[in-house]
Amino acid sequence: MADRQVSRLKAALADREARVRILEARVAALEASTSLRVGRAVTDAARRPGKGVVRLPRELYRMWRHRGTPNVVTSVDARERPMFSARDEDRLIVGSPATGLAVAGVLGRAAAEELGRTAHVVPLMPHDAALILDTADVDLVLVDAAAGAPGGPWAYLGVPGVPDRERALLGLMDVARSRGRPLVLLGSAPGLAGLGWDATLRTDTPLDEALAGLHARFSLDLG
Amino acid sequence: MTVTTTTAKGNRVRALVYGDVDLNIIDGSAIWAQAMVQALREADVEVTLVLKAPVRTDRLVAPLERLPGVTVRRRPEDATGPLTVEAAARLLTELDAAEPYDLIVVRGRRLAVRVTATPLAGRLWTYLTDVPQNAAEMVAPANKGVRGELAAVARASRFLLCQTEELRCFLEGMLHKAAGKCVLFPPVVVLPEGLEPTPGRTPGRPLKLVYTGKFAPRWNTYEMTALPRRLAARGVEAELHMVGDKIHNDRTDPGFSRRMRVALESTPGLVWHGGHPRAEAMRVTSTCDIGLSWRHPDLDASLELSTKVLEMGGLGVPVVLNRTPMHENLLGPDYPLFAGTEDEVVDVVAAAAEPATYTVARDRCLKAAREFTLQAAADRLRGYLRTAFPSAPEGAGRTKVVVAGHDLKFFTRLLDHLRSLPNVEVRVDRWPALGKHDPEVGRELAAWADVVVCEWCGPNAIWYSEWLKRHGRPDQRLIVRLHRFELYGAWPGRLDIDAVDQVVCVSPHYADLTRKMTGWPAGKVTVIPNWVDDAQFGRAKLPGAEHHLGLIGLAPWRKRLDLAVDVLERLRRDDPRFTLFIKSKLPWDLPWIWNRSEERERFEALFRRIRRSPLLAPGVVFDPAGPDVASWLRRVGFVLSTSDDESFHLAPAEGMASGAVPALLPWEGSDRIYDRRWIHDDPAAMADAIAAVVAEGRWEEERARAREEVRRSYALDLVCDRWAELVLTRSSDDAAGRTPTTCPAPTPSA
Repeated sequence: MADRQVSRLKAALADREARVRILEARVAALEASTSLRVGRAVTDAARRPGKGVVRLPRELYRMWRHRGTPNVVTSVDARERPMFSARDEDRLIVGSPATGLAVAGVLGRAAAEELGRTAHVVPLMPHDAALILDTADVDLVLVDAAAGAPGGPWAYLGVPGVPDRERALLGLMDVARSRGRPLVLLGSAPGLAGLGWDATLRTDTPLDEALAGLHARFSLDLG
Repeated sequence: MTVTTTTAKGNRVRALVYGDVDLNIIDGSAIWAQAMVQALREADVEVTLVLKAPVRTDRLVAPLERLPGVTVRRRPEDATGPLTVEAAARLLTELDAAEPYDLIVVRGRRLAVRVTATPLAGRLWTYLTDVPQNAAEMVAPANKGVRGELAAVARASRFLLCQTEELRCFLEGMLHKAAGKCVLFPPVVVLPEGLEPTPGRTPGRPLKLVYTGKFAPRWNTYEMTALPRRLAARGVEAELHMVGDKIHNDRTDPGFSRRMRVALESTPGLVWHGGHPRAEAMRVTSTCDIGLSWRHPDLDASLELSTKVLEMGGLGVPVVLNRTPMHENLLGPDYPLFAGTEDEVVDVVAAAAEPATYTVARDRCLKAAREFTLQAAADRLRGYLRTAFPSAPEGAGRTKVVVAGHDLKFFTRLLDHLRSLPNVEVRVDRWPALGKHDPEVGRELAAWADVVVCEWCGPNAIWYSEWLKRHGRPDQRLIVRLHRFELYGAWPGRLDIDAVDQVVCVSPHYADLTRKMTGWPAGKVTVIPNWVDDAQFGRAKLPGAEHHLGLIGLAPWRKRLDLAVDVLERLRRDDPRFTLFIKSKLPWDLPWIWNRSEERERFEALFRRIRRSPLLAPGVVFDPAGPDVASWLRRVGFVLSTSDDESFHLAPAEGMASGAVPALLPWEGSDRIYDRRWIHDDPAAMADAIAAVVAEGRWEEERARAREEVRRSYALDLVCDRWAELVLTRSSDDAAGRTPTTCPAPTPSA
């Protein structure tokens, strides 16, 4: 009971801290905006009629000269930006019309087709995987080594020396782990072994049978 | 004829080499140190090799000491042990302080990290091997701080010498500081005398298999001992020869050591030769038919290449090894001796007992090994030396150059080149923003300079032209580089062209436009195109790249991602393997774009279109922007340029240098930069042309043609030479007369 209370409080604290970080960034951006600085300069001048008014034109001129220069709070690449991590409970109210097992997948064409016959599939792309996993309510995450074949969005996943794909995979694995979702590898590729999978499936495994096994093994609650 | 590379002072290049390896123990790292010294010597560099340990056997050291131009600094006879990292760093620094070296080759991460904080920084040619092998390892808690250390090493290094393409791409992807500095220095295979392969060799009976090296579980050495028996069951009489005496004590498999020893001592058909020096091990190998380098799949992700595989190949002994992307690249995807399991090993060895298969495998291994000779290593080093120590144009005198501008990203390599030239001193006046600078600094630099180069024809050009007009000396020159956006601003109108000696545009079309819009004297406007580091971009494509389109930069809207998406849509209707990879910041990451409502609305509509189309959504990948473009382009078969307007558009040129086929829409002036064969009327025509190139099997031919074209016109060394000539030429009239179009644009085809 106490453990649950502690973890709930920890989650709430993490939630608040994330919100505070975002708000701080927004405030900093706002403070750097020319309009706010102009407003401030004018009110400061009004508050101190002597020196303030003398200084005002110079201040305004400086702002005018620096108009259009980038904000000090610069935007970073969205795919490198730390996710806003919602509490798991928040996802309970997200509409999700799927019934049965929901599987988020990095999938090759054959596996996507086969899986689609027995489960609700949430396809993941290298640029959106972590984002989708952060918000979607899925039961497990399946990574198909065949997705690394050329001719698909995850081409060269598992190929040594292609770190951007590996980093995208590690990002989604982090989110899956933080949400307690089992990570399953289907097949094998040089760079995929040893990443700490919860289960591995051979390439030729029939996925409907495998899903039943995973369902039992991880006690997945399908509601 | 070999041309000697000299330093800025005209002397022979001097190198200090420290391998952090013990040359008494003849292993791969000792062979590397020996080969590095020999290759530098071949490249006509004066070498000082610093030994780590006192010499107990001079089998490797003595031949080096006999080489002219090579000095070996031995440890004192009474030295108690090998140099520590700290002591090595101190010694290298002291040697350099006494008589400075032009380059310092170091191997080993700890030492490299240590010397980053010494005066050697900037001249380091660092060979990194002991680095994490994948992103997961790099970010693992056990490797905390390693990434920062490696970034520091990259910053302090002139070059990072990488053993394989895979390691180079990995480092560039993980450490942006490494991009542009990573160059290949693969293993060097030096065969002992008398072991040259005999031509036309066929497998003998019994078939002799050979393994040399340590005995360890992941090296599958125990499993190998079953091969004679299993092959006999297939009707193939075989012997297994094993050389080595180090039997690994494995904590996860405590019985391995005993099991392995028993197998070595008692397996019928197995000949255990025990431990032998490298030369003897190679002699044993040369008497055998097939080498074994079949390993546990855990090792398939290694970024390093086994020197033994190459040595066996050099001896004409074909090797059984795992199918990995690196090995496929080395030997071809259809190499007949790839095997992953014991059953597969038995199958491929049985097949190789047939002379036809054997000959194919042997020829592939011999051919691959030829890329790793001492001569090949020396040739590589010569290229790097030419980059690091370029020669000045004939007749160039001592020149002081100021480069001024707010954004030097299109000038970086030219700046590096100017800085490396003998008798040229370069100072940079970095403007914090387009119209912002420190006039005090500007005045000081303007008075100091012989030549001022203004990158961008903006307020910097106006300021320097005004200053030089009022205070300049008659011998001072001003060169202004005009790109695209400035032409539509007010700055060219305010520039006093009389004070400018030369305006350099990056394309003939923009040179014409500049003359037309400004009315400047035609002779003052010249063309030196943008540069492409063709050596950096020229890398092996990843398999299947012919179905991958690439776009570099998607914003602002005039880059016309929507047209690239049209191309993709048409291609995917017939073949869903076509995928568009976009390396770019996203428009909302660029506030100057995202704050403009018309840009925002168009992008939002386009992203909705992509997201809602079952055909497009799985076919468009947004990869992060970054300097690792050369490694990213390995996956791209066609590089697109669908813009409304460009002054040059470097992306197609970079793609061409990488061996991709360019595909452009006809933005104005494009045909004066790129051959018309790459330019298509509209997205549909572009898609059809791409589909035809792939379907008709012409991709290899087209991309070779594209690469040749870009090397002929926009290669970095070519463009650097033109800039050096322009900057170091005393008379601007001469320069103007000589360079109406300094680099010829490709001849338009019919």
